[in-house]
Amino acid sequence: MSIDGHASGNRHDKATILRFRPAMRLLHWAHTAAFSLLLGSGLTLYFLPKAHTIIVGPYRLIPLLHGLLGALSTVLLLGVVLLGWPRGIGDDIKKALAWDRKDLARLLVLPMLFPQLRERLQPQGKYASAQKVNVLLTIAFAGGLAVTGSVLLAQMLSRNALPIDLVGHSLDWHDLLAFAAALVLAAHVYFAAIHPGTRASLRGMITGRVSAEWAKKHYGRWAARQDKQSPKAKLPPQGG
Amino acid sequence: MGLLHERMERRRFLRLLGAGVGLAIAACSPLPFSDRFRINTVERAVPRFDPATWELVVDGLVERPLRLSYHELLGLPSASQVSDFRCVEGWRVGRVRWEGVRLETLMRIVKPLPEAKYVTLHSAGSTYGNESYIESLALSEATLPDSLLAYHMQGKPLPPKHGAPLRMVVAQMFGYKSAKWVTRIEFSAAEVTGYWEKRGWATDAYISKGPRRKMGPSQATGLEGFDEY
Repeated sequence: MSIDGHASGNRHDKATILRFRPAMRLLHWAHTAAFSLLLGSGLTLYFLPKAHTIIVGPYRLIPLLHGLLGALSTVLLLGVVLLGWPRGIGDDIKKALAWDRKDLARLLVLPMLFPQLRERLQPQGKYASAQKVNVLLTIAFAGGLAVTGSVLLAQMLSRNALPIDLVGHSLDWHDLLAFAAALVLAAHVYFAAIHPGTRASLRGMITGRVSAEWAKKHYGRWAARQDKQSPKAKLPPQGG
Repeated sequence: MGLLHERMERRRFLRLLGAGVGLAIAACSPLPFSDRFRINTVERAVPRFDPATWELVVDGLVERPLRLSYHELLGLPSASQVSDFRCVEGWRVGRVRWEGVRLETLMRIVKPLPEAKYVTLHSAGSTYGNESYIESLALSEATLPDSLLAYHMQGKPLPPKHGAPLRMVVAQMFGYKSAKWVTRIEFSAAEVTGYWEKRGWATDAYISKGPRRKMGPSQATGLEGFDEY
């Protein structure tokens, strides 16, 4: 871990800190791409009856493509998780799944709405409570959608070899999880790209680095730990 | 110690999460929004229905072929039933009230020949491959106590997307056997391969995997009751 920066501008403003390693960013964006395609094709199937009219061989084309894309995405994402586990994904997921009392308190008092309480609950670690909720829900939704989607795909490919009650429950849960995941995604995009207090974090997921000042303000405990672990880290020289 | 504390918290949290998800799954049948008719037809467009010109043709291996106008169809003795509707893709709609005509009523008029063992239902409209949707049923299937040629659904004339003005309802079988927009019923000695059966889906589309031919109303899937008028 290191802190570095650009050669010009205000010394502290331009210093950056590594927030997400490449493996974590790959997982994030691969999941984003897969979920966007699957959500798009899934909503089309749910709301547009015409999407069911194209038949190829024994199958409806768009449901088949949706199912195969889901299966392929699941395999690829699992591959990224396994290969990237020692390269930062493991650390990040462990941190995101570690809860303490302050995390729960932050969720309960809604610091977004009560800024005076926010100060008392600072500093926080690498992930804010809401981000931890997002990670948990993302894992739960991805797992649930993969399992229920596999049942639906198997029913289609086998032309009705599975118990119909299992297929029915899987379809119900698949739909419910997809809509819930879409809502969580909307909230995630809002906080990552629009909300003034949090949108700087998007840069961390794109370039891997965030402003050291911003990290200190929002994730003080984590930023301090990064400082300690990087004794050689230096802020950039002033001026150009 | 801090790390250990964090791990304990995580384990406890994950346990609670697992228990919560397990409880949710156990209590899931059926979900409140799941009772929804989906229109997954293969026809390019919903066939148009004009009550003044529409006709039902009943022919094939019968003594007296028949052509019925919509109003003549409505004038025949009617029957109603409340039954579940289930698709092989998994979705189901419970307690659908259907009203229409039993095939036996038409059979009394057209008098099928002794060699007639099957009926083929021809649908209006066509698919993207310019293929007509047909479905074939054994007479024993088409005359099950909960099989009906329906023109009303939930107390109202059948909506266009549900097969107006006439559709087959075979409550004991998956939905692909319940052809919509029926305009012709043809009696035959041999089974004609239906649209989905040509593509490898089962001719035997019973929802229940148990004994079939002897299944009566009390064993029918989701069947609530019958009325004959």
